[in-house]
Amino acid sequence: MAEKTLVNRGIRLLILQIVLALVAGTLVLPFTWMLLASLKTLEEIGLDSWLPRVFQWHNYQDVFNMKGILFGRWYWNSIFVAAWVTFLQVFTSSLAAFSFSRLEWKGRDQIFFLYLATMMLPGLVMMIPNYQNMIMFGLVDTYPGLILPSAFSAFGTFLMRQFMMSIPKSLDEAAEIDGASKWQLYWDVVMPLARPAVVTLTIFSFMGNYNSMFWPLVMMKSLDKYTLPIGMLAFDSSQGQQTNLLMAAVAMSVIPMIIIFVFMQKQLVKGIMLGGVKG
Amino acid sequence: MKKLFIGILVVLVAAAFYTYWTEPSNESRVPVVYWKSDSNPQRYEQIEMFHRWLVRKGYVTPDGEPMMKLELDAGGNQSSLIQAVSGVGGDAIDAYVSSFQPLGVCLDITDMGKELNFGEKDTYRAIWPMLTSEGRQYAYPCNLGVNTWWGNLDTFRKYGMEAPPKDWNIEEFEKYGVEFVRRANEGKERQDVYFIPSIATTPSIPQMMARGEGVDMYNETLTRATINNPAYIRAFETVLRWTNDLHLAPSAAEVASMSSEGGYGGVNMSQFIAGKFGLVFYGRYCLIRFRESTTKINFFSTLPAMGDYKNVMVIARAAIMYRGSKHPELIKHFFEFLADKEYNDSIIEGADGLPPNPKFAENNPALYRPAAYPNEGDVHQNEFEWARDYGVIPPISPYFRGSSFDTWIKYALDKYFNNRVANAAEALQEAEDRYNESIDTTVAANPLLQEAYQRDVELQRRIDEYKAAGKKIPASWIKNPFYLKYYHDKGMLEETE
Amino acid sequence: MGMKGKDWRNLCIGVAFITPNILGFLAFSAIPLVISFFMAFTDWNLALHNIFRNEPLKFVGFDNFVRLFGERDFLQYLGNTLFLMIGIPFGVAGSLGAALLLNCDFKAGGSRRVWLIVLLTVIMVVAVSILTLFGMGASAMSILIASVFGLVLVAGGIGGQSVYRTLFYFPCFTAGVATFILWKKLYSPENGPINHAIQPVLDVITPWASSLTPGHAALAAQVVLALTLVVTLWGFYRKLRDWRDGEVGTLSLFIGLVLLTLPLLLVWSWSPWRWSHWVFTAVAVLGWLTTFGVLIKGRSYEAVLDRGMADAVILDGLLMVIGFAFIGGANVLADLPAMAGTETGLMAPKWLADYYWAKPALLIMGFWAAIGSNNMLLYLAGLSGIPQELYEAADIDGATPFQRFWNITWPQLANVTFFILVMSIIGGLQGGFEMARTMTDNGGPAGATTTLSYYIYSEGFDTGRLGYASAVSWTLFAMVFVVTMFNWKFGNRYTQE
Repeated sequence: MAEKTLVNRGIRLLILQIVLALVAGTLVLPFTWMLLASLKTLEEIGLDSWLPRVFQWHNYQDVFNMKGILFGRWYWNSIFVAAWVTFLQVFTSSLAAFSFSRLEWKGRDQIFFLYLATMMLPGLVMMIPNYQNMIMFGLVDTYPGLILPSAFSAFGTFLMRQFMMSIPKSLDEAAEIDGASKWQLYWDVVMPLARPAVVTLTIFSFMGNYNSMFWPLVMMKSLDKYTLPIGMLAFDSSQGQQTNLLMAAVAMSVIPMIIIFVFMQKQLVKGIMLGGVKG
Repeated sequence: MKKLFIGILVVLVAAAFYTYWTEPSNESRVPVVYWKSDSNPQRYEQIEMFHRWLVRKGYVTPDGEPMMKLELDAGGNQSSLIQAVSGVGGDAIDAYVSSFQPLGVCLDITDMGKELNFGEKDTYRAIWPMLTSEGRQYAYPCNLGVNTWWGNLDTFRKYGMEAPPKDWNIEEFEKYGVEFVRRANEGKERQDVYFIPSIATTPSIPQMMARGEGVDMYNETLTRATINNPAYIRAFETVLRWTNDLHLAPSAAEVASMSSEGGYGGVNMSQFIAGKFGLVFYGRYCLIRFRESTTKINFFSTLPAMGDYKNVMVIARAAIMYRGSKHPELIKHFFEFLADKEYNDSIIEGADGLPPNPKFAENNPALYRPAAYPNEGDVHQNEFEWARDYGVIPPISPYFRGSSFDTWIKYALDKYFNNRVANAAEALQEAEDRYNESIDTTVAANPLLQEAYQRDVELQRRIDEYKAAGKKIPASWIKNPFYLKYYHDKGMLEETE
Repeated sequence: MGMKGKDWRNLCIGVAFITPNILGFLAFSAIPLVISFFMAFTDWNLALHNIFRNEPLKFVGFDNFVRLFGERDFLQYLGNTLFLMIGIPFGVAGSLGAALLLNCDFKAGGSRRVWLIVLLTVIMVVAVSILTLFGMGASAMSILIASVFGLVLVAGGIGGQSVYRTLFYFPCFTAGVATFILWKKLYSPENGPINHAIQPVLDVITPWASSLTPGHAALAAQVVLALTLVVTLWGFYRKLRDWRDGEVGTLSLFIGLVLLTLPLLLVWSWSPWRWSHWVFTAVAVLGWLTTFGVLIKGRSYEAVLDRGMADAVILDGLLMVIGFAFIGGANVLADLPAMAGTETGLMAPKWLADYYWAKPALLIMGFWAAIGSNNMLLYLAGLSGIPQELYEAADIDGATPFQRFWNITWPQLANVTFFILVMSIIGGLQGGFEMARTMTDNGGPAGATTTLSYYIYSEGFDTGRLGYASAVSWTLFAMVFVVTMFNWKFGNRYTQE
C-alpha cells in the first residue's frame, strides 16, 4: 500500500517535472538559438541547423574590435551610469523615507501623499520639458545629464518607507535616550536594519537603469558616451547584418543581469513581493 | 554599512575620474568639430583622410598639427533634429535640407561655396534642388547614387542571350524578360531563375515609370500629392504584372521559398551571384560588397524600362552646416574637402557611390574603367552619365514632415501586392490622402510655413490655368525639380535668364 | 496657528532629510510636469520656437486636444495601443499558470527514494527520446532541441523549484533592447529560426489543404464560427449564475457581458456569411434580454457592486479574445484551399515586415516575456497566502482539482489579479516605445506598431510639434488616471474584503 502511493507520487512528480521542463525549455529556446548563432560564421546564419560547424569563439573578441562599435566603452558607460544612479537613488530615497516614516513633523503625510500621486504619471509627459531643462543647464551629452534625472525616485522612497515603518519604534526611543542625534539614528540604527529594502532597491534600480533606452537616446550624441542599449541600437542599424556578431553582443550585454539575478534572487523575489503590493 | 557605503562612494568617484580622463575629446589640444553621419566604417577612413588633407592644404597649427580634429557623431537620425534645434547639433550634419532648413538650423553657405569651390558649379545639376531652399545653398553632398538595372553577363550568356539594350521601354523589357525566364527555366519542374528580384518593396521603380509619362508624386509646387492618377495606376499594374503574370520577379511567397544563405547584402545579392536573378536594381555602392566576393561577375547596366521621358532617381547623402556650430570657420574646410580631388578620388576608388563633384568624374579613366576591375565594364560610366543627364531627386515636399518620405507609397505598394485592396487606384488614393493629411497638419501647425504654402497654392492655381490654356509656364513658379526639368526638356517652360 | 518651538525644530529636521530627494524631484519631475501642462495649450513648435527662432508663443486653448481626435494618425495609434493590450489577459493567465506549476508540491514526502525513481525515469525518458529521434533519422537539430529540454529536466530534477523559477523568470529580467534585437532576428522572414520551423509544417499541410473543396472548407469555417456562439453562451451563463449566487457584483456583470457581446457584433464586418450576422445579433439581443430578466427577478445572495472585477476583465476578456480568434480562424479556414492552391502553397508569415502580422508578432513576444514576469512572483506570494484549511475542507468534500481551482484559488487570488491587471493596463497604455524603436523600424510597417508613447516621441522629437505632443501625453495621462481611480475605488475595497 505504502509502496503504491510512493510510486503514484513518483509518477505525479515526474509528470510535473516534464511539464515544467517543457515550459522552461520553450522559454529558454530563443536564448539557446542566440548563443549558438553567436558562435557561427556569417555564412551559416541562414541555415536550418542551429549548430555551428566549428565554434567561432573569436566572434566574442571581434565584437570589441569593430570600427564604430565601441562595445567595451559602452559596457563601461552602462555600468558606470547605472551604478551612480543606483547609489544616488538609494541614498536620497532612504533619507526621505527615514523622514517620512520615523520623524514627526507637520504636513508630513500630506507631502508624502502628493509625492506618491506623481508615481502614476507617465514619464513621457515630462520628457520634453526635461530635455529643454537639460539644454538650459548645459547637460546634454554629459554623464550628469544622464544620471541626475533618474536619481530621485518616488518609487524608491515609497519602497524604503514601507519597510522602515515595520522597524519597531522602540529602537528610536532607546537611541534617543542614549543621546543619539537624528542623523545617527538614521545612519546607525535604521539603515542597518533596513538592509533588505536597500538591497531590493539597489537591484531594481540597477536593472532598470542598465536597460533604460529612452533617455540616453535623446541625451547622448557622442559615440563614446553611449550606453549599451543605444549602442546596441546603433550596432543593429549600422552593422546588423552581421547577425553572428550582433548575437554575441546581445549575449554579452545580458550577463550583468544574469549575475545580479543569480546572486540576489532571494532578495529580489522578496522585494517584488514587498514592493508589489502597491505600486 | 558605513564602511561599505563610503567604499562604494570612493569607487564611484574614482570611476568618474577614469571615465572623464579616457574621453577622446579631452585628449585633443586642437578644437574638435563633429560630423553627424551614420556609423559606417568608411567614415573613419574618410576622417583620417581629412586630417591628412588639412596638413597638405596647410590648414595647420603652428606646430604643424591639423588645425581641427573631426569626430564622428553617429547618433540616431531622430535625435539629430531635436539636438539641432536645441543648439547642440553636430557642426556638419548629414540631413535633408527640406526638413532642416525650415527650422532655421542651417547656415547659408552660398557665398562660402562660391569662394571655396563647393557651390553650384561644383556639383550635379540634378542634385542642386536637394541642397538649396529658395535659391540659397545649405548643403553639399558627401556622395550620391543612382539605382539602375545591373546584370550578370555570364548568366545571360549561359542561356544563349546577350546583354539587353541600355535603353528600353516597358514592352522591350517584358519581351526580353519573358524570353530570359523561358530559357532559364526550360525543362525545370519549378521556376527557380527570375529576371529580377522582388520589387514589392521598391516604390522607386513605379515612381520612375510614372515620371516617364510626365507625372510626379507631388504637383508642380509640392503643395499636394497627386499619386492617384492614370500614370501611377499603370505603373503599379505593370510591376504587379511582372510578378504575377509574367513571373519576371518572384512573389513574396516565392522569395521565401528560395534557399537563403545569409551573408552580406542579403538574399538578393547572394542569389544574383548564384545566377538566380538576371538583373538587380543596384547602384555603384553595391560594388563595395561585390568586390569582397571571390566570384568576379562581368557586369553591365541598363536604364530602368519606362515610357518616353528618360529619368533616373538620384539620391544624395548631403551634409548641412550647422548654424549653431562653434567653429564655422573650421568646418567650412570640411565642405571644401568634400568637393576636393582627394575625397572625390577616394569615393571613386572605393565605389562608395558617385563622387559629389562631377569635375573629378567626367572623363576620368579611374572612374569610367577602373584598371583593377576589368569585369565591371561600363557600369561606372553609365551611372555617372545617367545621373548627369537623366537624374532627378526623389519626390520630397517641404510641406510633408515625417521620418521617411516614402512610407505611404510603400504602404500602398505593399497593400496592392498582397491583394488587400480592390485595385491600384484604391491603394494609391489612400496613400495620396495620407500624404495630403500630413501636409495639412504640418502647415496648420506652423504660421511661417502657412505663408509660403498659401503663396504656392496660389501659384499652383495659376500653373493649372496656364497648363489648361497651353501656355508656357514661368520657371520661377515651379518648385518641383522633376517638373522643372520635364517642362524644360519639353519646351513648356518660359525661362527668363 | 500656534506652532511651538519644538514643532518648528521637528519640521526643520524632517524637511532637511527629504531635501535632497525633493529638490531633485522638483527639478526633474514637478517643474517639467507643470511646463508640460501649459505647453499642451500652446502652439509650441520646434520650427517656430527654438534656439535660433523666437516667435511669440501663442495660447491656443483646447485646439491641440480637439485636433487630436480628428487626426487619423492619433486614432490609428490609439487603436494599436489598445490592440496590443489584448495580450494582457493571456499574459496574466500565463503567469498564473506558471505560478501554479511552480507552487506544486515538490518536496513534500521528498524521501530519497522518490527522487531516485524520478531521476531514473528522467534519464530513461531522455535516453528513449534521443533513441527514437535517431530512429526517425532525425537531424542533429532535433537532437539538439531534445537535449535542451532534457538538460532542463535534469537540472530541474536536481535543483528543484529555484532552477525552474530562474528559467521561467529569465525572459523577463533580461528584457530590454538586447532581447528585442534577439527577437527581431528570430522573426526574420528569410533566415530566422521561427519561419524555418513553421515552413515545413505548412508544407505538410498544403497538399491536405489544397485537396479540400471550397464547399467543405466553408462548412468547416462556419462550424468554427458557430463555436464563437458556444463560447459566448457559456460566458453569459456562467456570468449570470455567478451573479445570482452573489459571486460577482452588478458592475462586473455588465463589464463582462459587454466584453462578451463584442465578438457577436463584429461579425457584421468580419464574417462573409449572411446568416451569421442575424443569428449572432439575435443571440446578443436574447442574451441581454435574459440578463434583464434575471436582474428583475433578483438574486439569491447579495454582493457589493464591484465584486469580481478581475474576473470580469481577465476571464471574460479571455473569452472575448477567443471569440475573436474563432471568427478570424473561420475566415482563414474558408480561404485555406485558395491559399494552398497557389504555386508555392501556404507560406509562413513575414512577421514584423507585414502590416497585419507585426502586431501579433509583438503579442507573441510579449506573452513569452509575461509568463515568468514579476506577476508570476506576485501570484506565488498570493498562493502562499491562501489558508491550507480551505483546501483540506475541499478535499474532504471530494473536490476535483478543477473545482479546487475555481472555488478556492481563483477567488482567493482575486485581489492579486486585480492589482496585476491594473498595473498591466497602465503599463500597456504607456508601452511600446522600445519595441517600435528597436524591432519594427520606427513603428512600421506603415505605422502598424506605432503606439501612443512612440507617437509622442516622434511628434515631439521628429516632427517638432511639442504643444501637440504634450496634448497627446496628457490625454494618455488622463487614461492612466481613470484606470488608477478605478483601482482606488474598487481595489481598496477588495483588499479590505
